[in-house]
Amino acid sequence: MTRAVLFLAVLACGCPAPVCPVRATRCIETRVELCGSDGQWQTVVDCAEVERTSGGEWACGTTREDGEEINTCLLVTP
Amino acid sequence: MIEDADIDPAIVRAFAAHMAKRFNATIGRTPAALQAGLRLVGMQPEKYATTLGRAIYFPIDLGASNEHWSPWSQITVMAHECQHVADNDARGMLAKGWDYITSTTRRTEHENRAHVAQLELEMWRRGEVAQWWPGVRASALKSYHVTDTDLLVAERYLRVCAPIVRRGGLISVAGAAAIEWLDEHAPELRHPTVRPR
Repeated sequence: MTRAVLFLAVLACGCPAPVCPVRATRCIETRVELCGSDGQWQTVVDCAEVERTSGGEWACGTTREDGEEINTCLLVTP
Repeated sequence: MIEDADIDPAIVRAFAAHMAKRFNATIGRTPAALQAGLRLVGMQPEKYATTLGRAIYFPIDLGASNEHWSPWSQITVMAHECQHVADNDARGMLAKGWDYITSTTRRTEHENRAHVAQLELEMWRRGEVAQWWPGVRASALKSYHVTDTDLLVAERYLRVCAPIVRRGGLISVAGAAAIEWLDEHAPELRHPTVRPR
């Protein structure tokens, strides 16, 4: 049991170096990315997928949400 | 507007059956061993549905209600669990399971994707996503043994998705499947300002 816990602890520590400030958002082409608690970018949503499933024209851009500027998918043309 | 607690149990059961078929999942009552496991990690089994692979477990019979489970919450949580099944398919059950257990970042990300299905249903039912919703929903992850930083990231994740959903966008496959069925079979539950798909 102790060995298993140590093994998991070693694995959990074998993380890549942070590359972004936690909670930052950005647009990469049509994708909205968010910086996770590990300091790595994760994709939240692909605006091209939203366009495909929801109709209209969507593009990644910035808006204000709860007083903070964030990146998200914006409806360009309904 | 029909209250959450007054939704016909038959709708809940039909919805769950449809979603289970759509995502090739099974539905059952939480087995005693799983309840014991949840208690072991400090979770109250009567408050949580659980997905293991393609098996979705609820602590009550769907359609029945109690203080923890209104009919509407059963519908939204069913969509949440189906998103987990879809993620299992997309990422591989073993890989996802390993991520889920070993990384609070990944566990948070998995739960965020499932919470988006609930966000979409919230908009469909209420005609809005209240400003408090992302924060309250994210704080539910406290029981999942994630870090305080993970909770802040979870809230930000939902705040990124909220403007999309408010403008009529769909993000999750489970949310889209749920709304498609509800539009056809239970349009009376949809908020009057939300247009059918």
